[in-house]
Amino acid sequence: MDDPIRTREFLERLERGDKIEATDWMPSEYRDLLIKQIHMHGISEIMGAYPEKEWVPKAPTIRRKLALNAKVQDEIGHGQMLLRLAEDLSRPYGRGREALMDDVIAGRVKFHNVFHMAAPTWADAGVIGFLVDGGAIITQAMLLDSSYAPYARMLKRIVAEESFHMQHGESVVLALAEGTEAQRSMLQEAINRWWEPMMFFFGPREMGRGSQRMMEYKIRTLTNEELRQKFINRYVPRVRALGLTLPDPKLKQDPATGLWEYTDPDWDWFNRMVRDNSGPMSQARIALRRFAHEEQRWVREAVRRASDELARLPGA
Amino acid sequence: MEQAMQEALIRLVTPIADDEWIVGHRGSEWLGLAPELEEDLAFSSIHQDEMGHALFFYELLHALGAPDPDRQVYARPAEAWRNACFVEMPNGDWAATVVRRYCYEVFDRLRLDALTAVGFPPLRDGLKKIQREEAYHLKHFQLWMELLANGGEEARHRLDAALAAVWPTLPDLFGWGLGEAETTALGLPSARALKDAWVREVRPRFESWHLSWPNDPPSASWNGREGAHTPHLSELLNTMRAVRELAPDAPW
Repeated sequence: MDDPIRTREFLERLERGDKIEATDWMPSEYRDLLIKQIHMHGISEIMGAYPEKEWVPKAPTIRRKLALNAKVQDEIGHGQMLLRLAEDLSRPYGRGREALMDDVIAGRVKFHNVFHMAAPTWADAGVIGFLVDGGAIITQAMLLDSSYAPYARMLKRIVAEESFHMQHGESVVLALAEGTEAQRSMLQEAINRWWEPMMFFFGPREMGRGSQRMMEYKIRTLTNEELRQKFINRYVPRVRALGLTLPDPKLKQDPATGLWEYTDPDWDWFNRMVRDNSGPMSQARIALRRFAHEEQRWVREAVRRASDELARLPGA
Repeated sequence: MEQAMQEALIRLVTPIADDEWIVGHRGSEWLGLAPELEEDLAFSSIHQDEMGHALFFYELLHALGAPDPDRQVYARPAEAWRNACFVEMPNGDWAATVVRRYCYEVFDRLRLDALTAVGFPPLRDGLKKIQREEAYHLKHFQLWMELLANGGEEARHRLDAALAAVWPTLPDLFGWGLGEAETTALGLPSARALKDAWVREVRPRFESWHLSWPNDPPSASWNGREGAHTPHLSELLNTMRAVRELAPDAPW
């Protein structure tokens, strides 16, 4: 149990708008919420590399291939930076990179619902940048003001890069929208596929206990519904401007409040998918991570052994 | 420029552009799958560099009268590619990847150094930046060879297996894809001389890593420099073109 006096002082710091550094004292609940959030965020970045990674070898022009390759690399880079944060926070628990990655394979850490979905066409590769990265910018922009300073600092860089990714996605989408009939229908189908997962992406209308505590600790600052409304408000006009439709007949904005009505995603189905890794591509994507993490473990062990070996050499 | 010179330059640069492109493409297959996140990032940067170099060479070729870079990459049949079969082979495991990439980087440095003798200013200007980047690539894979060679039993075992698999595929790497007279006229060392220089560089390294020398590279039984490729190249090209072929002339 944490010292109640220190906990009260900590909460007062947050009230004053103070930011917390990695070396500051923090209640264990705060630490655990951060670990959960940042671990999941980092792993989602890494798992989010896979749906687009499969399109790098097939990218239809040299420029697209270079751009998509760089984008996927950025996502891995975000994952690496975020895991470094999660590793720091997990130090009191003696858990490092290997353990945090083992959790993916064992299904002990969740990743975003969108990365459990199939990306069957090139248009999906564009729409992921356009909608998913666009959605990620909205959630991450809120975290820029997070009470945990190292997270907020890191997000500054991540959000800047995500905005390039969104523009990359938008550029792919625009080219398809202006293309042949086949290209346009490929794009429309991809939009149809990704809209419902994006509605789920921001979380349930009524936030769970953990998310509420994160608000109270000022780790996050907006509700799920506020984030989703921002997204809908930003994307409905954008998609319609491309001459495309959205697969939700209920979509309607209340002129007085500005709030959007929308069809609820299949909450149960998506919840189960994220919890049990039972989505269309969950197991295939985890298999890719297993290849990198478990089948390449011998390489990491070789590096450790060789580093010890070489450090022993005279002159090292 | 004289037409003969222009044609010689196209024949000289095409194999280099194709090598770099295929190396970059194969490298991108490791994206998200490398043994460690940090290596994933480094490996990806290196292979984006390689594709960037390929683009530079394809643009140079375009300026010399070849089709635009996208057409060269997406519209040429396999037999018109001049990359070495060596670089089109599937990656294999991490040890095979490291061995192949190390062998290629040593060769690439020797080739780039030799190219500075060619009196064609646009080529020479581009080489400076490329050489700067390639120096890091070579260091990277040299380090990996050293780590695997000192990495204990399994790494050693895999490295030996990788050498046995990769070595016989070496021969067509060393060619320029030019006739002897043309090679001399451009001021370039012969393929034989390149290969000897490569052995002089690699052999002492192998000794320092306590790797037994698998004999000098055998001579060619196929030759990518003449457009005679393995089925792996067609497979790679089919994958690469799968999307574009849906609308070959549309903007993407």
